Amino acid sequence: MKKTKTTYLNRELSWLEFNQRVLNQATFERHPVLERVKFLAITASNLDEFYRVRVGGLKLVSEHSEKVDIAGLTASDQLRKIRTRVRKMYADQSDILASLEKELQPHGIFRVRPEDLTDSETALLLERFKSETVSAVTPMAVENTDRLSILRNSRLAICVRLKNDSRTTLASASADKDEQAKKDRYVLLALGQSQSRFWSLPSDQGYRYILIEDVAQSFLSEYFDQESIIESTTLRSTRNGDVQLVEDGGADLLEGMQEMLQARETSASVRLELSADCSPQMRSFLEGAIQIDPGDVYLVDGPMNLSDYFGLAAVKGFANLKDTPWPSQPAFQSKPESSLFDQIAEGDQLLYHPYQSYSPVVEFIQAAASDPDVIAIKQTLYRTASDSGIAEALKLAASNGKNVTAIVELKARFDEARNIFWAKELENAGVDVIYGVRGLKTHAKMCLVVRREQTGIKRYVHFATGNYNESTARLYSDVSLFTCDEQLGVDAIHFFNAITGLSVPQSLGKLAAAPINLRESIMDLIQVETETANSGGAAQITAKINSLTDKSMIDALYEASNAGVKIRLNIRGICCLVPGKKGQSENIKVVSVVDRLLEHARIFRFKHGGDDLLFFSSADWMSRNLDRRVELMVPVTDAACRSRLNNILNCYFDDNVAAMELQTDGEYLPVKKKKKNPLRAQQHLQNEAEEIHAAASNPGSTVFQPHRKGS
Amino acid sequence: MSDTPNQNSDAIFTPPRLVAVIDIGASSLRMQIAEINVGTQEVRRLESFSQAVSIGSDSFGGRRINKTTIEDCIRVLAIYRKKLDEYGINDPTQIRVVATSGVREASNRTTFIDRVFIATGFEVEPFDEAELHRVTYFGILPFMENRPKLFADESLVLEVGGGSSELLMLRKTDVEFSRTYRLGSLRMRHSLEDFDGPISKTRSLMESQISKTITEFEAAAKHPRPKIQIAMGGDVRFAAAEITQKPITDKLVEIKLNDLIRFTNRILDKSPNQLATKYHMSLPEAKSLGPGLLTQVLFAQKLNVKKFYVAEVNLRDGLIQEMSLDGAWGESIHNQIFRSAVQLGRKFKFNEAHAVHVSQLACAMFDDLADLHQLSPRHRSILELAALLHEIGYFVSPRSKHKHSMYLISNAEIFGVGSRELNLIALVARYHRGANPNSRHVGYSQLERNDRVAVAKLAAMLRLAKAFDVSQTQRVQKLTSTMSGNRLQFEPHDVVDLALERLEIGQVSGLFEDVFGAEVIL
Repeated sequence: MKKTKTTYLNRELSWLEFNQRVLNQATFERHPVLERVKFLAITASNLDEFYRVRVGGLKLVSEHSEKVDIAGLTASDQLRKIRTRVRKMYADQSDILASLEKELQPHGIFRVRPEDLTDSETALLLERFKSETVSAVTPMAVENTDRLSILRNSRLAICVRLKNDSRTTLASASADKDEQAKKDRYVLLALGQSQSRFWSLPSDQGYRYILIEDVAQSFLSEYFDQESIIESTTLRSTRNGDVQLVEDGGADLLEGMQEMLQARETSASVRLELSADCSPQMRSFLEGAIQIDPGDVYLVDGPMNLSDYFGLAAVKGFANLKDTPWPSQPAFQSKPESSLFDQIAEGDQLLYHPYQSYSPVVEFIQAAASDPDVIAIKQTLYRTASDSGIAEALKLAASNGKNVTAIVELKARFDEARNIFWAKELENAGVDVIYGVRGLKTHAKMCLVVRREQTGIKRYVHFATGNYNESTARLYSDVSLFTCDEQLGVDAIHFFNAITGLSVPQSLGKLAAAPINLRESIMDLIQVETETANSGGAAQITAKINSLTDKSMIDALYEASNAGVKIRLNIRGICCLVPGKKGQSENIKVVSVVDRLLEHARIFRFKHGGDDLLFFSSADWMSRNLDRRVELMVPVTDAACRSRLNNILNCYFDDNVAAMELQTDGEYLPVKKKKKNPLRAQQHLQNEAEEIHAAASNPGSTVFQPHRKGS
Repeated sequence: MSDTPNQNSDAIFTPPRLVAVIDIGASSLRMQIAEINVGTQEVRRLESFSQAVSIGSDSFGGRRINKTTIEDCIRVLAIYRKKLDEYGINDPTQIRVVATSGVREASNRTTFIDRVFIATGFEVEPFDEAELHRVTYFGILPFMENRPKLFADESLVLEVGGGSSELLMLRKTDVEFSRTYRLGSLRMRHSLEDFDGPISKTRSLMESQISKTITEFEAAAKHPRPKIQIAMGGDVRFAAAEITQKPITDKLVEIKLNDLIRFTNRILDKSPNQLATKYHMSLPEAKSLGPGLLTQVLFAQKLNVKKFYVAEVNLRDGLIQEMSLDGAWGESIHNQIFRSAVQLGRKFKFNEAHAVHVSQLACAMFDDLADLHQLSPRHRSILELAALLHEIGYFVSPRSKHKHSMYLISNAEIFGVGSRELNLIALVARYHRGANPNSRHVGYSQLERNDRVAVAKLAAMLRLAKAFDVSQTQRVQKLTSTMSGNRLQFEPHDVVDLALERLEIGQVSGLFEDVFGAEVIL
């Protein structure tokens, strides 16, 4: 039999397609216009991180490696393809911003250009500029050889080219024009982080704003009144964020992390964005000064650093230009007649956030903190909110004499500073803080409460797919499970003891954990489907994940597909698997849902000869999650929870509004609307959560709760 | 920290008792925390811990536990102590810390035990072979009760540890033979490292060591023909989980011997380092895996067993089970111990009817006088066995027979009875006649006060019980003992003439009166 060559998609290009799908949202009429501004800002912020981490990493590799990825590309090949793709994305972003600005005008939101300012407005701005900017931003003269360390990562700056004055230079009389240009002076103004990008202008109604770079460029003479300005341009440099801590064991991790954070601010530049109208002289000067490859310079036609546009999207008022809120539905609350613990003891509780409120999670930890019977709390923290109620509850618990252990992952990229802060706070409160596990990132989401009850020790566990972060819990869709299942409790405690170094890993009964047996467990589950299909049985894999990049996982899925296993994947982001290819993956379908909320839950279902095993997990199907992170996969066995989770999983495959299907060539196209009725998964889930709440609070369906004295 | 469980007024319920067992083994330091239901004595395992230590490789190699290893153990024990504090387990009666061959064989074991006590407050009991047999038997007891058919014939129970292998031969539920051999997985690995032979030779060297032990065992156990093999130990449990692809939980799992052989071959082809990486195990565990499995396999092959089972039982579970009985041995264990003691008595041609009768009278007296003596159920067994064996010294010579009984007992093997208890039994037997216990007496003087007092109390009771069968005709069938005020009153049933007994009581009651300060009246 002739074997067709197995194919894969490149992970970086697949990610860029994901970002494109987000960018597309900024053009969809179904989103109100300010929400579309937000989507635009998201793509910019995503792209920044992509450059810092992925491109940063590739650049480090490309210098000394010709190794190819699963798609057969070297690092240099990938960088070349990325540049081409991103240039197109920049053009799209600029076009979309221009049309959004236009669309906002009839609603009273105006971007004012310097040339349109009235005299009184100019005077007002000048006054503010003098008091806020002139005092805070010091111009720095730049020599050709400087590393431009004042140009902090990702901050907007203005470079001014000044005519060289004979008073300050001994220019030879015979110097030609080019020589002259070289001797021009360049001065850099780094716009501070504390300054708002949008300066509002007086307005009777609506909102009129001017961008800070427009203001600054209008008032440059405030700085250089003695010199003649030839030109000025806005610029922004992105520094390599792939500066990672080397865990050598000896050094203090906390100290090492702080040094690393500083190093990231001044690491080599991986991208330079320049205003499209910048002159070739200015451009070549900056390329030299920043020491960047000309290929990594992007000319931006319009404002850059679009992640600042989160600010515009959040402008006060204009409710008609924003999404109608989807209120988080109350679910599983403490009731006067029974505590959260009692309710968990009655049966597992599965929640799907943010459709259902996240507060039970916070309440659970708060209740544990002040419950006299609780003896210990064990908690993992990966990305914490800045005003974390969860961390506060842990502090309270420690001060109430509970044994509190928290694994605070200091290595959670770009959240390091916040995590360091919380690690110190918790430590001061008496919490036993563990700064993650050497060589691994602790990504599992688990909170374990040990309670001494009349009948003995009982463990209550909260497992989740989302971080213990109340802020992101409003935007990310995630699964939460509260349980006091005996085996899950034992597994959870053994897992926790293993990662905190109290014990060598012990075999787990129900949970699967990375890097111990998660990969093997999933591979085994896939293998069972393959074998079932080979022997003529019905076999099916349905999974919702954020990314699929692991080669052996993809190969296992290809093998399963060839055996006849029906595979449906809902992958929000990167997918290196090529679906629908004859002799490789004709039984695999890949769909991506990008919509109002960020899809974040990982849910897997395996037919398993009719058992329909159902799991959720903190892990994506990426090598890093399966091998270099501490992750968990949790089975869902309670009938009611299973039925809910099955519905949730299924609805993502029924979506025919927001869903896009991955084609064999790597392109994403809207799914075909087979059904008459349009179904938008996120809207559907919101409706469902509202129905669940309504049913639960319907007076007809519950027992009356009389108010009694003292209750 | 809240120590008191919530007071729920409408539930009259004693909360479960929290206990912990720490087992200081050759390659690891393990702890099991469990809950015992006070009513049903049911055990619920709460949390288990395991940390790798290298006691075995120190003591099997250099005979001494290295200083760094001791400090490693202390570090781990300090972590365990913290964990126990979390649960509020801090009463010594809630905790047992036992040490097996790794510590037992080290020349500096006392230093080790003292250092552990000073640094962590844990009192380590060196656990000897007889006690291990008892705990092992206890562990497989539920299987025998649940599946009597499986145990209808002869069975071999084999646990391969780091330092030694423990063997029990059962006929139905009775222990026919029990012994511990210095054949341990880690010890084997260590002797091979010493030998430094070529890797290809490793397997055949191990095979010859194991075969030698099997030959010894066959001769000692009179060529047993077990139908089934019950394998215990971490190595074989791991293998079973890998072979059946699921964790072994609380069960007796049958595995095909051929599967185990294939798996063992695969393991022996790999270096410990490769195994540690592949299976995410500690290096000592990886080192012991191959030799441990090979031992099980060779026993099964040589003895030609028909079926091979793996039991999820370990020392810690057995110890916790024992703790649930509050120091008593439990009926089945007790029966096995009693059987073994009777066999010992027969070896020395004792008057079985008399010995059994005295031991019954002594036990009856012990039960009646519980309030007076305040001793534990374990002491009752000591009295029972001492009464059973008190006269075996007669076999050597009628002169000073009580002293002969003492050294015979203390050097004998009784299934399930550890050396400390054996020593107490020997002393109680010694004092069944002759001089009263005296602090100048060798053996007695080395005891701690609690044990000294117990020996004196038990010997006093033994003397009285023996007096009631002075005729050696078992004519006093039943006896009730009651304390009224300062007097101990005996009431024998259905006996008319008690002159002989009265005379004897008069001669031997001195010890009782000295110990309890009570007058004995018949």
